[in-house]
Amino acid sequence: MAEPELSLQALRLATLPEFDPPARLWERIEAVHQQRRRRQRLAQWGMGVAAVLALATVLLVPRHDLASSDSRALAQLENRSRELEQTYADLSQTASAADSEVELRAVEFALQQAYDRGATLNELLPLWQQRNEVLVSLIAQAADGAQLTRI
Amino acid sequence: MNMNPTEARSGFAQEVDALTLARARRGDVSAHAALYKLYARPCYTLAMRVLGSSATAEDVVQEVFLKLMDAIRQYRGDAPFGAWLKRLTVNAAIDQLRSQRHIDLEDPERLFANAVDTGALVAADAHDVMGLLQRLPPRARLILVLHEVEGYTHKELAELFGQTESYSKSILSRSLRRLQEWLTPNTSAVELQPWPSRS
Repeated sequence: MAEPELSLQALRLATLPEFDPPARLWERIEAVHQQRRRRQRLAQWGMGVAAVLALATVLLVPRHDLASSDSRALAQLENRSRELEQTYADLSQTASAADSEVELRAVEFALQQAYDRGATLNELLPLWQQRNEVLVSLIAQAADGAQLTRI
Repeated sequence: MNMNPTEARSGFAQEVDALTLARARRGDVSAHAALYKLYARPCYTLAMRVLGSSATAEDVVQEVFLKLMDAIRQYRGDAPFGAWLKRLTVNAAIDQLRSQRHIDLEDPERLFANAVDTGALVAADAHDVMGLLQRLPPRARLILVLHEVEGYTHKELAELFGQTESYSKSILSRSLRRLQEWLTPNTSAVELQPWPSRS
């Protein structure tokens, strides 16, 4: 005959006591829940602010950087232009002015007009670039002329 | 601590009305309080039986109801609400045992080898059912309570512990024999009755 199966009931232990939680436990749980919700809201608010800041960074900073980059490029072109101008002035003392100076004056006129109408960096940059190229060309011509003179 | 002997089945079988559930899903605090009023006792009782400590059982109830308030939107009503809440309670109790490193031993042999064998009890102790339960290894106590009191099948226990069905059967059998030994000083006095087995 098979041995009867053991169980709590067989051991007369089936009547286990029940327990009531402490009376104030719900108040504690509610307080913790409120605290967590406040933290969550604060975290969400923080994440929202961070998202706005990130968006602002994406939208504004690159433009600012771009503007700064263009300003730096313009300053470099102006400095380069002054150097070329000085070089050309030094050379032109020993060589006659070439016809190309007409082109230089035309570029300078366009630049002046651009400044007068408050042109943007995007308009100014190619004009300064053009002025420098004309100056390089003039310097090259002047240098050739100086060499010819020395010969 | 209030101890009231009642029927073996816990109050997780109580039903909750659809309106309270709907309000609770919307985050209505009074509905949460109503659910607590209905289920706090079975939740606390289960935690006490498994963990044996009022402070730890309070922590379990707190975690369960905090989880309930956050997760009730995900309750789809596939199973009775009480069953869903019981599952939350069992999981929280297991987490507590894990945090106390009481549930590490998985081998049934080693589980009971480490349990203190204090020999047979005197007659007065035999009436202290909770005292007897607490003398079992925590994992064995958990399996015993879930199977014998909360009606978990061995298949459900196997899924819960990630083990085979024979694993919980082995631990349950050893637990009951250990209880029998403690109750019967000369291993002869216990009257055993057949009990339908849940597979």
